[in-house]
Amino acid sequence: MSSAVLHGFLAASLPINLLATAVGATLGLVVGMLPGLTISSGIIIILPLTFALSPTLAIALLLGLYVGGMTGGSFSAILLNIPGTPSAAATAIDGYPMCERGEAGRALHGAIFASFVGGMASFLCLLLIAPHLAQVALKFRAPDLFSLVFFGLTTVCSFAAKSLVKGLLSAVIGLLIITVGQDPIMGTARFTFGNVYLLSGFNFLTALVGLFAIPQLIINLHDTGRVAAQKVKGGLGSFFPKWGDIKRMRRSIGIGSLIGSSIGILPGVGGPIAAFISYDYAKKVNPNAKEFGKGAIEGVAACESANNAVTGGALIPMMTLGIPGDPVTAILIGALLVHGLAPGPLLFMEHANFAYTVIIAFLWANIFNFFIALGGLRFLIKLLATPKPLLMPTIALLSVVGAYALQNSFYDVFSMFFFGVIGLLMRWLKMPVVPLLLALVLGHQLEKYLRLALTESQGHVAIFVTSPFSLLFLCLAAVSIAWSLYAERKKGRLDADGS
Amino acid sequence: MGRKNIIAALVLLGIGIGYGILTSRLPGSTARGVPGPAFFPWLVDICLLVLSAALLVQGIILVRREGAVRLQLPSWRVATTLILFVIYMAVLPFLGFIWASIPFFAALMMLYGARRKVFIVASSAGVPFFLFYLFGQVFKIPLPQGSLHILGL
Repeated sequence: MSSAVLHGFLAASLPINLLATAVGATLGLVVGMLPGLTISSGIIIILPLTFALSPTLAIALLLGLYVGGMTGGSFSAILLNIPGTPSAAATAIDGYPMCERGEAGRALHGAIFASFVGGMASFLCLLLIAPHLAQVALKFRAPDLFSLVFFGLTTVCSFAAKSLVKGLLSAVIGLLIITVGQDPIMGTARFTFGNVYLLSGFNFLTALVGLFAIPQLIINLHDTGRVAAQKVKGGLGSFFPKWGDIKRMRRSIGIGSLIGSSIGILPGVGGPIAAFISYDYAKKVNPNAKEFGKGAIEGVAACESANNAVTGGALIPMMTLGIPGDPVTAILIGALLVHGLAPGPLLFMEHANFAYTVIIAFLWANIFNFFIALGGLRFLIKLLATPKPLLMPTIALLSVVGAYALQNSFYDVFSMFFFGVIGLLMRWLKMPVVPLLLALVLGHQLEKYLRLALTESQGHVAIFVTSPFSLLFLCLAAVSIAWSLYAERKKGRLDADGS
Repeated sequence: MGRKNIIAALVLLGIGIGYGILTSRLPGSTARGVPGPAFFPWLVDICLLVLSAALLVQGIILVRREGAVRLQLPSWRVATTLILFVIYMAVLPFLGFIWASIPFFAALMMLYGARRKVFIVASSAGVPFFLFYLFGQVFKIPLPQGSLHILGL
C-alpha cells in the first residue's frame, strides 16, 4: 500500500499533472461562479478535451474542476445573492448580508479558507477510509452487490425527488434505456430493431451531455444578457483571511467538515443538504447564533466547509464501490470508463497506483483551489460579467463536439439531442433527472448482479436475505424509501397548512 | 401540474405496453431457475406500469383538487432553439463543422440577446474555427469536414 501511495504521490505531482489540476481548479472556479452553469455542465464542457489525454491527466483536470466549482459557487452567492451552484445556496444566507454591509472581501476570504479546510478534511477521510472500504467490498458476492446497487438507486431517488413517484419513474426510465442493446450476461440483442448502432446501447456520456447541456441552454434563454457586473462594496481587503476571523470560524469549519465528509459518503445526498445541515448545527452550537442570517462569517464557513467536504466524501463510494455519490461523480465514472478504468473495489487491487494518484490529485486540487481562489479573486469576480450570448452558443457547440468526439459518429450527436429532449420533458414535468442519470450508470450492474445472484441460487430470491451484507443494504434501501415517503407526506401536510 | 401528470402517465403507460409487447418477443430462460434476457426488462416494465398508474391517480386527484389548469406551450425562443438544433444536426454531415456552426452560432447569439453585428460576426466565425483547430490539431480529434471540403471549402 505504501508503495502505491508513494507512486500515486509522484504521479499526481508530475508538473504536467499539477498544471492540469491547476487549470481544472481555475475552470471550476469560473464555472461554479457563473449562475446558470453548474459543475456538471462545466465537466461536460471539458469532457471531450479529456478523451485525448492520459487517464491521470484527465482525472487531475476533472478533479480540479470539481473542487474549484464547489468554491466558485460561493462567489456569486456572496456578491449577487445568486448561488452559482445549488451547494452554495446556504452560503448566500449570511454571505450576501455581509456583502451589503461592505464586507464582501471578508466573506469571500472566509469562504475560500473554509472550503480549503473542508476539502482537506475530506481528503483525509478519502485516504483513510477508501482503501479499507475497498477491502471489505472485495468480499461482496453477487447478491450483496445487487443489494448495494439497489440501495444506491433508492437513496438517490428518495433524496433527489420532491415526489417519490416521479423520482422512481425517472430511475425506471433510465433502467428501460439501459436495456437497449446487448444484454450483459448472454449478449442477446434487445430492442435494437436491427440497428447496428443500437447494439452497444446508448453511450452514457452522450446521454449525460444531452440531459444536462440542452436543458441548461433552454433555461438560460429566459435570462439573457450579462450575468452581472457590479463593483464590490468595500473592496476585497487583504490577500489572506484575518486571524480573528479564522478563530471565529474554527467551530463552524469543524462541524461543516465533519458533516460534509460524512454526508458525501451517502450516495445521492450531496452538497446542498450537507451545507444546510451544517449551517443549522453551527447555529445551534455557536455563541454568536443570533447573528446568523444577518451576516455572520461563521454561517458562511459552516456551509462552505461542508459543501467542499462533500467532494472527498462522494469520491469514497465512487472509487471503492463504483456507486456515484452525486451527479459529478457519476460523470467521473463515465470519464474513467472511457479510459478503460472501472471504479469499484478492484480499482484498488488491479490499479492501486492509479487509485492513489486520484486521491493525491484530489489533495493537489484543494491546494491549488485555495491559492488560485485567493490570488485570482479580483480577476475571477470580473468574469461574472461574461456575456451569455457568447457563453451559451459556445456550450451548444461544445455539447455537439463532445458527443461527436466520443466515437466520431453522428449517431452520438443525434442520441445526445434525443436525451436533451427527454431532459426538457422531464423538467417540464418537474421530474428529477438525477435518478435517470444514476440508473444509466448503475443499471447494467443492477441487472448483471441480479441475474448472477439468481443463477447462483437457482432462482431462489431468499439469497438476498440470507447474506448479511445483502440484508443490510436491503434494510438501508427500505429505510431510504420509507424516509422519503415520510418526507413527502410531511411536505404535503405543510403545503396544505400553508395554503 | 395535474394535467401534465395525467398526460405523462398516459404516455408512459403507452410506452410500458409497447415495451411489454417487445419484451414478450425476447428469448426466455435457457435453464430452470436461470433468468434469461427478458427477465430484467419484465421487471422494469412492471415497475414502469405501476408507477405510471400511480402518477395517473396522483394527476387525477390534483386536477379534482385544484381544477384543470391550461397547459402552457413552450415559448417561441425555446421552439426556435430546438428547431435550430435539428437543422444544425441535419446539415452538419454535409456542410462540415465550420460551415454549419457559423450560422448556427450566430442565430443562437441573437436568440440570447446579442445585438452588436461586429460581436456576432466575430464570435460566430471565431469560436467554430478555434474549436475546429483545437480539436483537430491539438487533441487530434478531427471534427466533421463535410462534403464541401472536396471543393476546397
